Amino acid sequence: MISIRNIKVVFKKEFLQIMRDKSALFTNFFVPLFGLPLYLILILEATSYESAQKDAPIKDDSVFKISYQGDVDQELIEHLSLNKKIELTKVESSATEKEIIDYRNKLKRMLSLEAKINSFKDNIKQEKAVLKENHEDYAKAQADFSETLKLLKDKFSSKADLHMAIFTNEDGIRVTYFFHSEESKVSSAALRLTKKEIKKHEKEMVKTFKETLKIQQKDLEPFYFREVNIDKSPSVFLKIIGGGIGGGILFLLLIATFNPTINTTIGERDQNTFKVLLMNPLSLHEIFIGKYLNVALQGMMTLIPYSIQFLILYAWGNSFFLFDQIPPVSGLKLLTLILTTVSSAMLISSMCFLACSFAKTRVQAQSLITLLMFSIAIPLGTVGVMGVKLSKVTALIPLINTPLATENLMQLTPDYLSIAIGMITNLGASLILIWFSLGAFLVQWKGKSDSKGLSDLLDSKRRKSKFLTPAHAFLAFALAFLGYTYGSLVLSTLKIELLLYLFSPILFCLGTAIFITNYSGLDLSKIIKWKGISRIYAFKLTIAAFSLSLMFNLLLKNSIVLELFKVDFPPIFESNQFVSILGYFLLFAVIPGFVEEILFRGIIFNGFRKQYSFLISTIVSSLLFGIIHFSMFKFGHTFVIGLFLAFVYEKRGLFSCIAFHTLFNSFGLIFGLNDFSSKLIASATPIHCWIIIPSALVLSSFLIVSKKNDPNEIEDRSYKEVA
Amino acid sequence: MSAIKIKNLHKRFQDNVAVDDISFDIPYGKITALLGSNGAGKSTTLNMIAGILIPTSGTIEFGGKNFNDHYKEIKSNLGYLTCDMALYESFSVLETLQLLGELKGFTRKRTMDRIEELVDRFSLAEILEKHYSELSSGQKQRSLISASIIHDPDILIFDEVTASLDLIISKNIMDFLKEEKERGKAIIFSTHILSEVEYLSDRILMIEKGKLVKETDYRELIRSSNSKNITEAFYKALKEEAA
Repeated sequence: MISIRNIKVVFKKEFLQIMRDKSALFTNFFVPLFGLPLYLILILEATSYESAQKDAPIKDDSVFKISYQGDVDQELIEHLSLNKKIELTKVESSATEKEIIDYRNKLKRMLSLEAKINSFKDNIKQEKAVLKENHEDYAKAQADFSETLKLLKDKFSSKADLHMAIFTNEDGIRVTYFFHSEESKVSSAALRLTKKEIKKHEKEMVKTFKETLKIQQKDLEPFYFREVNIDKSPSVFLKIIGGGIGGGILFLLLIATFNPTINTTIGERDQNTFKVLLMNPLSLHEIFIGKYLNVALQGMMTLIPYSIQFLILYAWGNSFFLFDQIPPVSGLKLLTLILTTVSSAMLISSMCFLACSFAKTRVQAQSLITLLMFSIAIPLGTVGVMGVKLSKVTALIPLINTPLATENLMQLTPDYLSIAIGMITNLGASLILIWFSLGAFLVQWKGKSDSKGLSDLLDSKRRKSKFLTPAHAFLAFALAFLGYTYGSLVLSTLKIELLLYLFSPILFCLGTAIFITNYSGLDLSKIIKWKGISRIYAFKLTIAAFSLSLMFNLLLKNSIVLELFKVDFPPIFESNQFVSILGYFLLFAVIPGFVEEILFRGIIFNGFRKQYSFLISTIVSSLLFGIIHFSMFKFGHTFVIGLFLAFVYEKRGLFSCIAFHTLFNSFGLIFGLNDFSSKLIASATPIHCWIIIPSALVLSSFLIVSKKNDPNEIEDRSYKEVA
Repeated sequence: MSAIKIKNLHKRFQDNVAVDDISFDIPYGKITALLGSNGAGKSTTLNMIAGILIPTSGTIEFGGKNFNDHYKEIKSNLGYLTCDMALYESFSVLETLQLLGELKGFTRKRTMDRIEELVDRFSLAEILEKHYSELSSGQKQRSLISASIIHDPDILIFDEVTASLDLIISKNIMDFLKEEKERGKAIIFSTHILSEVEYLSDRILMIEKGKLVKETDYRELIRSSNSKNITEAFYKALKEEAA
């Protein structure tokens, strides 16, 4: 009998092995990083082609040719001649007014019969006889019409798009007949015209003639255009998405998963670890199913983010797609927004579940689950922060920060009351969860069955310790969160004065860092180690910061700073632009680089690193780093940068992190403050992304892949030294 | 009472008969040594007993229970270790032991208690947090032994576990096996090191070309062949069998 429990254990073992295997991580995560731009290019090319087909105008170089006969009004001819899109040709035609009227009448008759036939189609059984009779009449009328058409065609210019026959009646009023032959050149062009285009031309022509000729509406006959069939086949996009994703999932689950499963089994056998499994009370089926589920999960983990991204891109009517295909009222939009929020929470939650699997004790698992709840509360709470302005949630996923989404975002003015309510809700939920998580950690730390949570921690007489703990990390985060939340509130509500107000949250965060370090007995100077910097290393730092900053700016399609302001940069000091620019660098590059690195790598990462593995410490510190930027809609790329900085810290120390972070933000500012570069970035095509993104990843990896005996390799980790 | 009863065990790999109609018992409270030259069929026999290989024919019973029908229950009480086994390189020793405890159906507390015992017994404290790939060969062997007996099984099957180990570690392992024997465990091990046979075994099973050629103890083996020591006795026995 197959045991679910055994399958679960095998699955867990497989999952941990995969997540620790660099080659597997490369295949599962870095390859999709390359794959996503390629996928985007394919999608965009397909949809650009499709939209080009739909929007294909009539040739710009085509002119509307009008031939005319008869007693023409020279003033009309001169007026029309001024229009470069109109080409006039006088023809000598002997078509008489009688022939034309006869043509008109026959046309009318044919059309009315055609209409009658169409209306009879609904009651085909009862009207069959009548239909038949009318068909016979129609056929006759059609034949009559064709004869007359042929007659007139011979007399009109066959090269004309439109023929005007003008006659002066007995009362001296000009009567103008407009029509064109269905076989004229413009017909083939007309077949490509959409109904909209037809109406547009008709309206324009009527307007022109009405104004010029001052002829009453009733004397103008509508043009005789054939019904134009617009291609109604499902869009290429939907075909690719529906077929691609649906087929992909099926392929993944049924076919592509078996081979890797078998390969992992063979791999285990070759590495002589298979006997370790076999010596346990497990059946081969249980082993295989556990392995299979893990492989399937790995595949789904790469597929799900793609699917969500494209669903959101499609629904938001990215400029690459036709926005008017999306209904204005949005069941779809609301669903998309819910998906965005849920997917953000899912991504964060899955990271937390992964972290939970490393928990060594029940208390640790409890603490990590608390963090999980905290992470879900933030995205949902952010919705509350913005009140009913749900569209701002879309900025949670960086890749959909398209010009259209940003435009929508900035058009929505904040509702102060809803912000206040949302903030209170957000902070309240966060504080409660922090309290529980601190409590859980304190139980483990102190070995007590209960604790007073924060009050215990703040009891300085008892809490003076010689090393950082997760409790310190959470406290630092909680305080920093307050500072950042206040800062983002300031940013979203005030204008010119905001930059001055920003100093206060920055100082608050700095104070938090100093407080925590003193409180913990940590000597800050010990963790910021300076070993001197070689030119090569400085170059590596600069290249890594530049390439990653460019990569994220490309992905966001706009400068990071422009996300915040969107409008012109308000100068800090109006009288001096240089000082303003300096002020920006200070506020958004230097100070954040310094403060955030001390907080997130120096305190939070260290707080976990002593007791937990590098992976847990990296994920937790990066999550918190991302969360702190949440209210500025930057979670996604901030989280990724946090992961990278954790590696840099582990390899190179805090100074390198500060230097990198400062450079990274500086380049972001340069891209934003500079008209040239910001336009260049905005005009980047997917092909640029396809080249730049992998290059950035490779160049930045040089910073964390160091040779042995590299003088910039930090030998001792601060958490060890601090202990 | 016999811990393991093997009857007419036979294993064929295509044209090659690796084990040819072997029958013997493994009792509790004794150490049985499996001796033979390379390719004699020792490892194949032990693999079949451990459930790694399926016999072509014959039966293996554990306390009267057929292996095929009760394999999960039997494996829960079986400790198996070979010289070519390895643990997961990306896991620490502690994580591996915890995983194996889970696979055995233990609660976390029971697993941790057992790990503490093993840490004391095999001096694992220094290597508990290290990954398997970071260990020396001696440390690896100690981890493997700990992994194989995490569940304190009543039956131990060790296949040349002291190969390539130094004398001190080998002695530790042998002392461990003696302690387990004193606790009433049934132990069967194979080795090429005759001094280990002399030191440890209560019974010797000699296998040559897939057949059980002799079932004796080492004193009887020396005496019956008029040898000075077990090495000489063993070579004589092999020669006799070849003839």
